[in-house]
Amino acid sequence: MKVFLRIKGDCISARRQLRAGEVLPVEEIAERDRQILVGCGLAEVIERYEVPKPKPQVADPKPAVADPQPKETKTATKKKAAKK
Amino acid sequence: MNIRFRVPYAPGDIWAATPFLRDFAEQRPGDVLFLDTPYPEILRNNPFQPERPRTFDVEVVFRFTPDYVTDGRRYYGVNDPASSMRTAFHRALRAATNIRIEPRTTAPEFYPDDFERRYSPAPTDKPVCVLNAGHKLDIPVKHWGVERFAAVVDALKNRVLFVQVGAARNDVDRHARIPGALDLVGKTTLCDLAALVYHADFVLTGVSQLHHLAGIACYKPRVCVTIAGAREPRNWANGYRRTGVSWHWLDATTCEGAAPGCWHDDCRDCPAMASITPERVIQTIQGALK
Repeated sequence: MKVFLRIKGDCISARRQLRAGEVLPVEEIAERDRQILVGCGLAEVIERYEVPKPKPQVADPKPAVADPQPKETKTATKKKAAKK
Repeated sequence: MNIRFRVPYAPGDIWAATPFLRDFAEQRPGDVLFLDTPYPEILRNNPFQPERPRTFDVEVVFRFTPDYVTDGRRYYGVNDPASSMRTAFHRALRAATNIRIEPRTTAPEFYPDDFERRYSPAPTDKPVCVLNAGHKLDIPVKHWGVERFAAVVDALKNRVLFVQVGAARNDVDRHARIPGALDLVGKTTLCDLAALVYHADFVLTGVSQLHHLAGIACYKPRVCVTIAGAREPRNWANGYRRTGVSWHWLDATTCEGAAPGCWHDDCRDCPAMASITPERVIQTIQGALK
């Protein structure tokens, strides 16, 4: 669980401009400033839980295979031999 | 043409209007429709809600229009089995402006920001079920009963985290706390609630805002169990479709043996609601857990 500060109204704290709707990790704002912001109704403390990233969908279970080199045909081999 | 389309209704109705908002924006790119609601938070980040124009050419105040009224009771969606709450907005716009919009968007929409995508208001280490076990006091027919919800939570709490939500407004709605559920009643904004549903595996609710919210985009399967009873016909609020979301609309015949659609808002201890057993709900959720 992580604790965040959600800014409810535009304000300035420690010379930092905070915008309504902004969400900050709680440690980014000094505790004293945090108490003032919350006390004035300019911010609220919220608790959130990190969501694990969804596992990528496996579309094809077969291992990827590089394009095979084109095999030399019998005719091509004969032509090469004739040139030599 | 700039249209101000006012929807002076509850949050669930605004979620239900979001498909209409998208339909209009996509089908009438030369016109502007501003959805004016007491809950603008619902439309936050919605790319189909325009900036509010300075002036409007047309003002439409949306009202749900009943098919008929008898003994002071309003009946919706009973004359035409194809009519639905979702398309009521399209019909109202056509009646007021003669603009015809095809209903193409099939479920409500929410646009989470990066923070909401990354973090959930509830732990997600086991499947999450967002639970509305409350009801508005003026519509007691929607109340399924605290004991029945408690039986469902008790049976499944080892496998599912139930997160109970609700607005907790005195004299408007009632949310008795369900033992074993994480209590977020009165602790979520509308966007928090939407973010919670976005990360949820299940939604368990009566016909409420959560039923509509269950239709927002998902990144994993989501199952919505709606305890509908007999108040409204199946076609009225049950017409959503979205890949990855499945709805289980649990309705029942009226106490007179008729098809659902009695619209008896003030019925207390409704026999149709009582006929929907906790076991039925438990089995539905268990089936999805397998």
